[in-house]
Amino acid sequence: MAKKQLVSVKVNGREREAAVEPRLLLVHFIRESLQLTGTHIGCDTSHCGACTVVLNGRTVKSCTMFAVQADGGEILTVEGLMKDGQLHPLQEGFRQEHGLQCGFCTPGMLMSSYALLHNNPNPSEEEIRRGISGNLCRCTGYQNIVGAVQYASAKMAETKTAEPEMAGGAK
Amino acid sequence: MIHKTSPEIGGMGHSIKRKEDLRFIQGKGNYVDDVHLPGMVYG
Repeated sequence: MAKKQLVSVKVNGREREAAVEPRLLLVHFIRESLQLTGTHIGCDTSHCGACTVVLNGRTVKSCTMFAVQADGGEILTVEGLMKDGQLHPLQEGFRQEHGLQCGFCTPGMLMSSYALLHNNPNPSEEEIRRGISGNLCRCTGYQNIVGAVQYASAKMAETKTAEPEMAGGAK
Repeated sequence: MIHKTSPEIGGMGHSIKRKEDLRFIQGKGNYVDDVHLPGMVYG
């Protein structure tokens, strides 16, 4: 077994660290070392996007990255979307607009849309579809997911809940 | 006359909130890959 390396990251606002094998993938670090199983493994090949998290202000597919590469960084996962006991407008949108069925792709969809709305608070339907093009859904279909992102976009504009700083690290 | 119940009561003409969505949108679903049992091995 290879010598373990210490990985320290700020996850959902909390400092976490663990000694891991250098070959450990970031998604396994998140799911197993940190026990945050909201981030899913769908394909292990970066096609499906179920493992998408925000790292240092950008979405990454955590199944295609080593944990050691994230050392010193800041990560936002689906577990960190809620704030002060309130659902994020995106989470609300997915629920209101029936943007999920089995829910397996949902964490990745949420994180991709989170980054999308941060960079473009009022995206067109086409821009939303492009924004989630790295995430596959195999049950609900995309129509209601687009609706959910539009719901969140409108709600965030209305309540100005868009944070000036993007959680999960500055870009 | 349109027969429709009030939103509080729900029923005909109203969509139903899915019970499971709340945990799925928070990353609290319990999928097979999330289950850990004593002595479980991974293959």
